[in-house]
Amino acid sequence: MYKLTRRSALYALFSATMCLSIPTFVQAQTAIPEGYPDSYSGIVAKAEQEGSVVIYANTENTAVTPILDDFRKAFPKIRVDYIEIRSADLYSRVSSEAAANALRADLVWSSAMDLQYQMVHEGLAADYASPESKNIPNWATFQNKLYGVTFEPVVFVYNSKMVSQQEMPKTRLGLAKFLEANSERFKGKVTTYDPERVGLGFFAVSHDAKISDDLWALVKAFGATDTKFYISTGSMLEKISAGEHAIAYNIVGPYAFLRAMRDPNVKIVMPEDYTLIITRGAYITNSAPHPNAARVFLDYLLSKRGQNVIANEAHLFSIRADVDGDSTAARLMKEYGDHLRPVPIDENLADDLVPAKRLKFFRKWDQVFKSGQH
Amino acid sequence: MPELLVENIYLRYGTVPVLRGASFNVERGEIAALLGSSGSGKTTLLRTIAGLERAYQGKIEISGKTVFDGNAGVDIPAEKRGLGFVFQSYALWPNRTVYDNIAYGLRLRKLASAEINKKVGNVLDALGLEKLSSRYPNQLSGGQQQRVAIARSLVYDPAVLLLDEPLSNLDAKLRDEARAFLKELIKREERAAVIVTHDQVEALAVADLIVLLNGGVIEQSGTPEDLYKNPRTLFAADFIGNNIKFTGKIINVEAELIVMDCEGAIIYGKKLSNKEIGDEATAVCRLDCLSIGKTGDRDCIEMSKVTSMFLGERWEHIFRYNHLDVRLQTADDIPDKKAFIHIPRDNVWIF
Amino acid sequence: MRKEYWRGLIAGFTALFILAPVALIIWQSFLSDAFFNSLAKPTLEAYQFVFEDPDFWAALRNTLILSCGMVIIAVPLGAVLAFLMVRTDMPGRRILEPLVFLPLFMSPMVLAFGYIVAAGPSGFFALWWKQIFGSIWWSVYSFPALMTVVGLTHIPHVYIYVSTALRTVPSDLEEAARVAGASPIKVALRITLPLVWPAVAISAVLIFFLGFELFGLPYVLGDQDGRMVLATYLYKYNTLLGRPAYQFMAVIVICIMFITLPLVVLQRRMLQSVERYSTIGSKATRSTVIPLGRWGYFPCAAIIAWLGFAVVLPLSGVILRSLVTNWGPLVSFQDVLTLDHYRELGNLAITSRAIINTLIIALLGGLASVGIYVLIGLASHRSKLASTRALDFLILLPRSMPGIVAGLVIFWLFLFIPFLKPFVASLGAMWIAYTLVWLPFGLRLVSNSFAQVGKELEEAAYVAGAKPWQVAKDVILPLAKGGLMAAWLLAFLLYSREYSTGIFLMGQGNEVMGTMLVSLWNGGNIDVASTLAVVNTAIIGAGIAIALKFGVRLDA
Repeated sequence: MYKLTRRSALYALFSATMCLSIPTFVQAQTAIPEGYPDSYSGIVAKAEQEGSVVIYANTENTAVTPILDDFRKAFPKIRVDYIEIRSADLYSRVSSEAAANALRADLVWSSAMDLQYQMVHEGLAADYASPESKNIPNWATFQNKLYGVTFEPVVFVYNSKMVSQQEMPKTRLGLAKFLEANSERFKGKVTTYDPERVGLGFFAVSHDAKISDDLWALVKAFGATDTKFYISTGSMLEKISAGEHAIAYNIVGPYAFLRAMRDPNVKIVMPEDYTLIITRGAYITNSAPHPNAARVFLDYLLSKRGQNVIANEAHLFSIRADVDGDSTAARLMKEYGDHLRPVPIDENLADDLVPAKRLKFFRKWDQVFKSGQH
Repeated sequence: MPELLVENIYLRYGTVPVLRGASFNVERGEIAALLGSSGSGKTTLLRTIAGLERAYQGKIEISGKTVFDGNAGVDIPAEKRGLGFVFQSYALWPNRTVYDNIAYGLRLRKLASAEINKKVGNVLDALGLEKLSSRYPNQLSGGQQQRVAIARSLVYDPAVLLLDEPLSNLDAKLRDEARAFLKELIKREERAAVIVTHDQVEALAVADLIVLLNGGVIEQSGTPEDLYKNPRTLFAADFIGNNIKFTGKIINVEAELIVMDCEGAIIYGKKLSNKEIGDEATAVCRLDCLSIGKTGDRDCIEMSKVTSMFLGERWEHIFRYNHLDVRLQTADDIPDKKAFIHIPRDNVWIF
Repeated sequence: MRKEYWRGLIAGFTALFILAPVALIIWQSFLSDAFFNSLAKPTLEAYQFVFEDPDFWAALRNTLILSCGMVIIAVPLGAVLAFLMVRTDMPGRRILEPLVFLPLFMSPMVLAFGYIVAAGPSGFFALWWKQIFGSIWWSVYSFPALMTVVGLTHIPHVYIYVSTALRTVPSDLEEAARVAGASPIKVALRITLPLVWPAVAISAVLIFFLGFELFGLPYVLGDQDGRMVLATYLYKYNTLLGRPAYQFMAVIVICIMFITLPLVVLQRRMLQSVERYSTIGSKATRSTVIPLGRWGYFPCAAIIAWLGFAVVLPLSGVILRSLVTNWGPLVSFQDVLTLDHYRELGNLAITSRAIINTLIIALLGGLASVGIYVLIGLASHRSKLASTRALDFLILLPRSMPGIVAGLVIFWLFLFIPFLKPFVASLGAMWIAYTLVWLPFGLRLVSNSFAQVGKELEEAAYVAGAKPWQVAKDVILPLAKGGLMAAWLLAFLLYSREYSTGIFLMGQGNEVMGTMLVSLWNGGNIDVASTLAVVNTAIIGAGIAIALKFGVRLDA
């Protein structure tokens, strides 16, 4: 029989207190996902000492807010200094600062895959084998330096009041034929990025051209319908909403989906011949002032928790296979599996930055466009 | 020792010469008038003394101290010359009261406010401005503004006072009063003053020394009486006083006496230049030397009357001989259509 | 002689300030790659490429046409407006006086956006017009439309210069003409115009020049037709060749600079005659007005129509957009009105930061910039030194660089000049960029207000014993105060609208409203973008209203 002595009462009290404090103990630990090496807490500790992480990225502040908010909850001692810069300017800034040995960024994260690759190629990226790299598909990582964080489809967008769902073509060739057949109806009502003035615009059509010649049929149809070429996604989507334009080609997924959520008239087509998938790559800089904080943030982005926020709060399309939701790679793979064509992060990306090749492409584009005009 | 010594000042704007060697001195208690027409350089000379214009040659001394010496490279800036300057436009600062306008110079000299108060008060009283001290310049009449400008220039006791056409902006009536007031004030305060004016009557009335400028050089300088009675050049003779002026040809020269033919009229006069028989010359005579004569009087010419004007204190008539016009002033009217005009040879200067 | 080293010193620093960016640009234009890239070689290829590009010549042509169009529209109308407001008894003058500056309120991008929402093919105004008249005859995206918008929104610039000149020139000459029987129009053309000709000519040169660095309006309105002006053409090189190609951007800036040189010479000639018009003296100039009588209602109506077009139309477009979720012919109003977007704006963390940063840089930065201009202005004021005269030539140069390039170049200067490096991503660096870009306009305003102070007022101070700095403090600055306050107000206005100059100089927490606006727009978040635009405009409006209450006159 157990005698309830003072000693045992104290002992019980002590155990109870320990039990009660375990949740908080565990809570601090859950910020570090399962499966990470034990040494990781050391990295977190150093990161907390560093106190902040400086990120240069081209994702809009407003889009990224949920991600930063959640990171702050996970790692309250690490302040995030997020500086939003458009992709071309981002490259200018990073390369200039690096040349002056004054690169202040710890992490550079951008949807311009070719420029990201270029920066890694120029030696600006640090080597870091993230514990999450096994959870990211192979095509989306490069040499433990550049990691793709998102899985974004490049889609068609249209105004359902001007084009019915049945009519709306689902392939490029289909779209080309549809526009040629209805060129009067769609005169001035089709839009896409100007490949000369938008890096991502060129990137998408350049890869379109590599996959199939259907793109050129489409360009001819652009000529036939006096397609308008834009720099800003916002402008295009706004005008689709307003009915000034009817169809937009090659819009980056998250923006299209966000607009479709707000405006029931705006609808999306995941092209059935193939859907390009691009990814927003991130790398830790070689000269990072806060290297450990950078690692913690990068790993967070790639972690299940981070990817969950990316998918379901920021609607940026997570890349991890084990995250569920509408804006996830998982759903896209399940629903569109074969059509999806991710652009891999590899040396071929450098191709897109060769001036001579670009100029040649633009000349062909102009030629084909003009041939479509009448 | 003159309070102000100006020696051989040369000044040009770009390549255009404006002052070509002007010199004069002013003693304590003396008023010098720089007289001339526009473009004569009189205002430029005044401003050069003040340091507002820059000569390239010459010397200026104030109270014995050299403030400018072209050869020695001395050029003390205006703010250190300690002169008083009254601008033609008065240049009162519109954003300051009368009191502050006057007190500014004292404040710059870092006087205690009690002393500033006293000095400003004194000068306000001296100029009859006591009641206006808190007014702004745009609330003052022209005459009042002028007095404030003068007060401002006097308050820090400058040895030399410079005035640029101080009376030209006043109405005719005010001008006469101001003229006397100015002279009395300067004499009483025992300053040396230089006044620029284009009005020869004003210069004669106010100055102890007249410096007549013509084209950047001093034509003649001397006392008013001197300039009035003994002009040395045609310009000097013509500029001062009310005159008649004839041009004509010299037909005879006898020692100091010249005989001229002016459109048929024979004029006798004093020789004041080196002209010979056959030269073109000009005869000048003061109006107050002319009178009506009788037939047979020496130096008379019969002329026809053109018109007569009643000026209040006298009559002025215009008489004509051929194309020669003569102005004559008399106490009473001359009703005749013709008269003999007496042009006394002793008062005619021929240049 | 008074030692005037300080003039030369200030002139020297200013020249350095201006020439450093210019030198960097010139150097960059002769390289094959970024100047900090070790692989860059000297070459003329950049010049060759640009000059062989038909798009360049098209852009140049468009820019010239646009600039000329701006001058043709803005200068006569601005001068007439000034004449009407200052010299006639046109009804409604008092009320219209502050309203005339409204077109300056809105940033060009907001303006363009507003026009699209209001008068674009799906715009509410266009739809309303269609309902009444059947069809719309205009296209917001056409070149004539762009020229009209640009011309009409630059009328205030001309107004400021010409009305200032008119207020300081006495009206006796005009009175004499009227007594002799001349009609108001004859008086305006034969008497008044020659009197203020220098001000008109100077503003024409400035407007022509502003046409060259136009970016925001052509960027948004010309977007879809790809019709480029020099600034938007220049921007193409950020992406055309893959990596940003600075050498081409530099070449274009050099071309713009070459065009400025004759303009500068022209402006100098005109300025020399402006010196004659100094008039702040102790005599208040009496100006009487020319009575227009009943005829005055016509110009009054025209001015109101102008304000309606230049301000009310685009502003209502923006306000409307901020209150609806969707718009267009397929949408009915009542369904979509909401205040949600404003709530959303309020919820964003960076909003308050952006607003505060904007206020700091616009209010304090604007003041500091005016301070700098005062120093430079004083150095050139009545100066006979060659160095200050040379400054006149250099002043227009910063304007040859469109805001984006200016920001980039200043960024580089900060990065690569050792003692400046630590400050690169700071509000201070942004302020320097703003001060440089606004230098020509602001300095001209400040210099003009100094020039209006009568020379004799300064001389009186010298004679009383004041040293040069005391003359500045006690005479020039107090009497030029009106102009200086106006300059501060304009700086506040322009800095609040800025978005392109500071892009590279933004550091952590440096966002300003302008850059936030562009970011929202690019990201497709037009809802919040328009609310931010409304807030931006409201802040500017509030600032101007406060200043006017304090008696600041933009045309003083």
